[in-house]
Amino acid sequence: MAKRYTILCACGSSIATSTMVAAKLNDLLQKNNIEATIKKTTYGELDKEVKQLNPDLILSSTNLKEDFGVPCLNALPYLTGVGRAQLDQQILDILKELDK
Amino acid sequence: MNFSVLISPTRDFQDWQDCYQHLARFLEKEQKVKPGFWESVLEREQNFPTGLQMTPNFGIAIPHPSDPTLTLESTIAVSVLSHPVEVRSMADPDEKIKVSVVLMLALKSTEDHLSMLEQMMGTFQNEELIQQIFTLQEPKTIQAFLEEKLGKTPAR
Repeated sequence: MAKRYTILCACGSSIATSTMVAAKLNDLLQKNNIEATIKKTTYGELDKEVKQLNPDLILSSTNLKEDFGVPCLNALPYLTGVGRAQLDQQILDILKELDK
Repeated sequence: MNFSVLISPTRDFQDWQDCYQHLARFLEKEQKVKPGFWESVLEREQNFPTGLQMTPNFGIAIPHPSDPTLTLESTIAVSVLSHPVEVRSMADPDEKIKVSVVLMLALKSTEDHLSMLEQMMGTFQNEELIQQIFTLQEPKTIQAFLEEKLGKTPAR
């Protein structure tokens, strides 16, 4: 059975940009038949969430300075639409690599 | 979606803080948000700024509070600036960008945020619409323009 992933979407308030990021991510995963639990969070809660959920990937709307030991992508293209296809591909590549 | 746009008659500000505070107080005065809204916006902005480069020569900022329960009625307070102000970029807070339109989000639900952000990104990446907004003078005209472009449900 294919792996079920856990992906965290983080922004400053977990309501605005991360909602948009989570929605676009969900579109991508559905299109590619990838199963994942998507959780929205704030930058402040990120450290705690990473420890609790042990996610496979973090999408953030800013460049994160901290290293969480988890692949992390700047998902701003899902907000603005600029560079969306490239981000889609980066996510798919990371998830594919994890499933090996 | 159901929301209204408030247009600030003031279009000239010293810096981003001056502008954001003015818009937050405007929302408070119009009773669209609860007291404490400005403080919540400021706190978020200092930690996680909201400047977005939309096209190579046009930027917007979308300041909003970290606490959505401070909003009473979903509203966007907007200032179309006569001179751009410098803000920090959301993508990279170490980077500064110039923004010419500030849209302060006072939205109640997750759905409202999603719908509003999608409409905003479409509108503010369209060169024609960007040019058009700067030709409008009257706050009422700008308000009608933005309410239509950002997908306000027409009144029956």
